[in-house]
Amino acid sequence: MLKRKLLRDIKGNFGAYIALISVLVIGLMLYVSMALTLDSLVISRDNYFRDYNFADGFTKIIRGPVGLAADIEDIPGIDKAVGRIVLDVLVHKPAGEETTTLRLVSFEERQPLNRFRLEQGKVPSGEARELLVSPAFLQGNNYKIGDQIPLIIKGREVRFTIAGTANSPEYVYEIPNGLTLTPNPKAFGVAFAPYSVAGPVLDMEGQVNDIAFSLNKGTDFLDVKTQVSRVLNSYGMTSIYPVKDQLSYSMLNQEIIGLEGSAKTAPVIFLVVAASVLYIMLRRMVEQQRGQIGVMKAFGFTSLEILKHYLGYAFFVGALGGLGGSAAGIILCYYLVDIYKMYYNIPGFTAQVSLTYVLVGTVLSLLFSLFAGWRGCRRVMVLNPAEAMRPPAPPAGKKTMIERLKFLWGVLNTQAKMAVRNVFRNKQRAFLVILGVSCAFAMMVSSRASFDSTYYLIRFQFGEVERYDIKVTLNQYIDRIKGVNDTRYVDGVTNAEPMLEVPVTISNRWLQKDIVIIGLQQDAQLYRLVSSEGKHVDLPDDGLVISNQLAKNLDIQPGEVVIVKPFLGDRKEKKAVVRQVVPQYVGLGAFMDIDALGELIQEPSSASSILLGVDSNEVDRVRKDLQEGRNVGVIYDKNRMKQQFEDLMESSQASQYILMFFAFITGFAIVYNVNIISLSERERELSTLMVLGMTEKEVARILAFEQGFLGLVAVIAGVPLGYGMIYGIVSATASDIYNMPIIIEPVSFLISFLGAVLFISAAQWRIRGKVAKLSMLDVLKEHE
Amino acid sequence: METIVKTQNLRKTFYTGEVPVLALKGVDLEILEGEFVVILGPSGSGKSTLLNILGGMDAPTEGEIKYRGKPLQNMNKKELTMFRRNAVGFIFQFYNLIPNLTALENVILAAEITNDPLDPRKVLAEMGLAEREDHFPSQLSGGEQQRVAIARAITKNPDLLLCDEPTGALDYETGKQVLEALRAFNRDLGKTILVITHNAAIGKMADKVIYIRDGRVDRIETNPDPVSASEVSW
Repeated sequence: MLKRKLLRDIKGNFGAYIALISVLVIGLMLYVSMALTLDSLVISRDNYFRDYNFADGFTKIIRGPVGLAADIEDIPGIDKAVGRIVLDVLVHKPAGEETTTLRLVSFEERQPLNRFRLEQGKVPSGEARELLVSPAFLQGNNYKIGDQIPLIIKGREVRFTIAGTANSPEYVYEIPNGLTLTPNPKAFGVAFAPYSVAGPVLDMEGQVNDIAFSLNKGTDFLDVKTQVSRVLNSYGMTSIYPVKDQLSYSMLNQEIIGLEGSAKTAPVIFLVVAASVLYIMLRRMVEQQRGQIGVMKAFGFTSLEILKHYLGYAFFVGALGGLGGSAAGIILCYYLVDIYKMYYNIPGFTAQVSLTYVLVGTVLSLLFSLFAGWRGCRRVMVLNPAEAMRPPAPPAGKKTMIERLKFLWGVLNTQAKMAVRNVFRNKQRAFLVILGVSCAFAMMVSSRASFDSTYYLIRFQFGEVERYDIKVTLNQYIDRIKGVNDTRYVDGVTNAEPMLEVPVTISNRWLQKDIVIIGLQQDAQLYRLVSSEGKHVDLPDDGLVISNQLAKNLDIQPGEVVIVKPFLGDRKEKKAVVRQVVPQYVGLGAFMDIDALGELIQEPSSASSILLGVDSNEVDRVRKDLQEGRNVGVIYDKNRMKQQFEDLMESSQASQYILMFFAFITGFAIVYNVNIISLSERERELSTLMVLGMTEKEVARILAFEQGFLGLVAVIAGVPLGYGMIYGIVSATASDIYNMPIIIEPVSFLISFLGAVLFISAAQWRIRGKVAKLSMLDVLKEHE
Repeated sequence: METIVKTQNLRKTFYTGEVPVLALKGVDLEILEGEFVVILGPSGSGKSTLLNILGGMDAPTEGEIKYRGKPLQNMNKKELTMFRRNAVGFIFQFYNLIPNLTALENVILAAEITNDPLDPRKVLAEMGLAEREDHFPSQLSGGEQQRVAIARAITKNPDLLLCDEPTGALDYETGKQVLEALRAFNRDLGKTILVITHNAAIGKMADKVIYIRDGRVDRIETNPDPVSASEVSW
């Protein structure tokens, strides 16, 4: 029979329960979907990397004999090594189409490391000019297996036949370099060609320029780094790094860390909010039903039976929320996995339905609910029947802290005074409302802020710092005057400037990092450093300007001397003063005067890239013209990159709205439920006011003032909380490749503020209806 | 004297579930301006329902009720609210003070919503509560609370004061104090007072006593020599 009472009570307050369950469902849906996705992602990644022997260390050299791999393998601690040719070439396309770079990676039959996985077609035999491309590249460029693909190699066109498609653990995230933050198969792809074909075509017969190696168990990368470098230095080693710094690995890893962080934090907010609301609801219910509890006890129900009855409400909420949330989470997981699959090529990565998480989710939901429920109704236990049947002692009014602020208190009318006192009368509840509403507000702020930060990054990096239109990366260093002259007079080019990129190891005390120093002319217009105040930074004659991320990594203060050891030239360690630290959000940037940097590697007037300012109507023609150049490696169209990035942001706007919607629901649920409780507690008080001649509007205004007051406090508290959340998000996703600035645009605060006003008003509007139903007649009756 | 309230064939039927309950079965009465009227009847006789309708909190099912010639049964919600706001004062058995407002603030609250209020502080002082104006209801005795409630009703300066068992929850002495305060308001300001009670003794101080029984007016007695509150005893 008590069950019937339970169901009827719930039915009587249906809206409040629905709102509460929605918050639980959102929390668990997020948890289950993210945890499931995370699991699938990690498991399929680990399987993939293991099955296809992903290497532990990577090096790049200018060129060296094939036998080098065997020399590396002989180093103690190294298990296997493999030498390859890895070279970026351009796809020959008609003018106007996007410049497409294809990374040719050579392979041998039965390669011990970094094997690819054949997805479609067949492995090229090594006799004809055949290659395998990544499935994303094939699809993105509308190729079919059997199509010919024209490549520009050494200034002439060479045609390859696409024999099939393949994925490799090395290119799970298919981007060419750290400047490119998202894959775009139209601009970049990976292809695998047999060494016997790639060698002669690329003029590298018997030679390799890339060596990957695996380590014996128990060996650390740093144990072998020096020895590997010693062997490879004379072949022009330009970089050596462990798998954790491998571009694709690092991007995926960062994503996993971010997802793990979100899975652990976001749901907790919703669960805590839901539990708090449940707690105050049940507490109120027990207070309200004192009389009934007394009667039940008088009938001979034990305290435990009654407690069980009230916990039934918590169980109902927890079970429905848990099951609903888990089910929704499983559905969302499919969606999340699909999104990840758009960016990451991981074979075997599919959404996995795991009953474990349904169980974990439901148990979690029940735990939160039952705990909140127990806290809310444990008073049932101590009431004795006679006492329970007496009405509770009347609430004592008392003065509040605010009243000491005489000037403020003086301007409030009596209705407002009532509202303020009521807020203070129930501090615990006020605290929970503030907590919940500020969380909802902060969630709105941070979901918008992650977009603000990204847009700021795009504007800053692609607008303020990198001001060129096209960057031409050369295969070999050239004299920079020649490089500038060769490109300056291409039709459509308005400006050309040289850039020198030198890979170095930079160290400060025991901290060390392999980076690329960028050399620029002091009067460079196409690449300008900007200080944190937004001012233009002049490069010093000597010494370095470094990015804040690098400064943080190596604990460098401006004015300190660091050791720079280039991978090129004499490779001797040299001292350099860090003159200034500037904000940079992409890569671990370090900058020098181009002359000073040239001297560092004994190549005083060389350039590795040319930056071009191009007439916006002529970009396509310029790109086409440049493709023909023999020494041209990569043509990087900055504006396209920027556009792609903005499109990506545009297309992921939905996630922002969904999160804001969740926050909205949460905020609404809190305010609505607390309002309902507040109303039920004060029915008598409020209907008295109506008998005295207050209109419904005036009565509702008292509640509105209360919620508005709490809401205002919550929004103020939500500002630092929002900053905290975005700081958390940014720190979780920061890596050497990119790190987000923390930017919250005023409009984001405004929109979140309006969101909060809206959910408070919506809840208020629902309450208005209930105020209208208040019965004045009951006022004259005796107390219950 | 002018008629302030007049009802004709006032009927009220409640539907609790399926069964209709006839609370008022045709009430006819007339109250003149400045009268002190007591409505007497046992519980369940319909007197509270009558009070609710007279106070504009409930509408009759049938019949007519006029306040200064204006029919209340035709008023909309807004007009009824304005009627309660400006014309009527209420005093309840259980005081119904707002717990988190002080005595004075409770009175001011009523004054704030009325067109032509009396000075709340002065009214409260007249009730002998000047010293207690900063106290919250929970810090006041029952009699004090009821006097605050009377001050709250009076400060609105209503022409009609409706009191529902105003002494019901009070001890003898305090009850008499409250009645004295009501009588004073009636005598000094010429306001009409209507007290609902089942305490027959109070009838002695009324100008007119209306006996209600089973939803009907049983009889009406006019009292040419009402006694003062101090002479009433029960």
